[in-house]
Amino acid sequence: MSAIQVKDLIYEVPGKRILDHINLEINAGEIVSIMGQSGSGKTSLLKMLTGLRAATSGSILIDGVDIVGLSERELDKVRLKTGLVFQYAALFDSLNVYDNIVFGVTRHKVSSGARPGRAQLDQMVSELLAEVELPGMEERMPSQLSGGQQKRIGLARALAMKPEFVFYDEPTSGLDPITARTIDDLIITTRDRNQVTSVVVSHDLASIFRISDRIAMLDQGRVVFYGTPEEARLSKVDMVQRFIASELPGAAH
Amino acid sequence: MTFTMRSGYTDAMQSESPHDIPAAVKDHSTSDSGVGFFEALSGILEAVGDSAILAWNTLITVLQGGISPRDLLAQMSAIGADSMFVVLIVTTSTGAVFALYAARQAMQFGFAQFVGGGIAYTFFNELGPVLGGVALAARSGAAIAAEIGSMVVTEQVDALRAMAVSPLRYLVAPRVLAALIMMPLLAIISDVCGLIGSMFTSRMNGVTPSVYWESVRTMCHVSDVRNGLVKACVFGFLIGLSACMQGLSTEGGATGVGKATTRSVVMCVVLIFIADVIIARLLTGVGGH
Repeated sequence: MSAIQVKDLIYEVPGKRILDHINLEINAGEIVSIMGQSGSGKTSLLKMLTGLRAATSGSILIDGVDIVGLSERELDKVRLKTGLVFQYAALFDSLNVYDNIVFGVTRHKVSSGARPGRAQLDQMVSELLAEVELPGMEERMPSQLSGGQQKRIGLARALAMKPEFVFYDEPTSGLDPITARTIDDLIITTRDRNQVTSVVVSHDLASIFRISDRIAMLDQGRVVFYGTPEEARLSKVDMVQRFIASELPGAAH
Repeated sequence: MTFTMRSGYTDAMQSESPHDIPAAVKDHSTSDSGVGFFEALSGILEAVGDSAILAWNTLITVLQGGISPRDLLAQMSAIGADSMFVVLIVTTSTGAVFALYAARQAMQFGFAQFVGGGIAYTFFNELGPVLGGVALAARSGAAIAAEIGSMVVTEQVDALRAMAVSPLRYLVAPRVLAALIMMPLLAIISDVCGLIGSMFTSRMNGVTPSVYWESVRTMCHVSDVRNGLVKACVFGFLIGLSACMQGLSTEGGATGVGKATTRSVVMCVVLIFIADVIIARLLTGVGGH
């Protein structure tokens, strides 16, 4: 069974259909990238996969649970299995790096009655910061971090919840090539170390081809291509060809 | 519970849980588009409905003990510290100026023995909670709206939800409860500052402190203080709730945060005065002076 299944997903706002009969199957442990032009609906799709936006119709099965139509409280049970890395990190700017990372863990442990000790939290934060290659940053405030560092702390915060699924919103946008490469490596390493299923929304084609097991191409709210990076290179789909030609001139055929 | 869905914030805050924020709280798209009267009326009614839902859900969250004591104390501390200076300045100067006019008239027409009591009665029942409320709305209400609005536009509220942390429980309930707790304390400080300020100017205009305080003791009762505190509790609740709602309704980046902050202050002040009229009538109708 697929880890994530999207069936006939439709999302409409007054006067406009943003997503039109989306169908996707994502296997456990895969890294699937969703690419497309600005306004193609990829961020809307990501928000629906994470339950942050309600679909008009269709279904989204996360680990076998259809999240479309669930109440916020029911969604929270699913969200405990997922992590979301935001485009601009969305770190809590009133909290330092340490408190950002432990935030979700302490909130849920407190509500379940089992408060983790300070030593446990210290160790967890230390390990996560090492994993995202930012050791010793515990006391820094988000405003003291670069964009790339914020994204890595955002990833550490997501991983603190030990998710089975990690969703990335434009993880390399606005970053220099070296930092973008570091983020790409982290996405792959995160999958390999934690066996998580990853969905990456991006229009950075170099990054997409580097990290993805499969690629979904969105155009005007529809999936016009879904296959491996190699299949994408050989695809006859016009939008895929144009996208590749514009972003990776050497790869065009 | 079903909420009317609209675009924009509807997506971000969609929910049918009794512990969530109303879906339509955030969307003000209709208010700027020159729509007709009925649509505007519908928007107002919807806003009132959203406020009622948010108030109810906040109340349920508070009663179920869903607030972290640490969050609550942090908010109480912030609200108290933020507003204290403004309250001191506003109420002391108002009391002083009020007494300046009252004492002059009193000395001229021979009713100096009523100055202290009259001013104290006014402060306990009206000026203490109202001026304290306006100060709280201007300082802490604006800060709450700006903080939450900023969190909305930088996706920090979405980050909370993505981590299965209820924005209502983490953001709204502690702030509303903190405002509700701190407002009566600010009202008491308002009363004290107003009386001290007015006593000094009364003295400068010939009303001695002994006459002043004797007048306060004679003319005022515990019920006057109690009435003021009832008002203060209601004002605190309204300020906290309205500021959170305006913050959550923020759209459109820094400009949106500015608009939400302004809306918050305006809405809080208007609500204070409307509630004041209603509560005053209710309190005087049930045994007040």
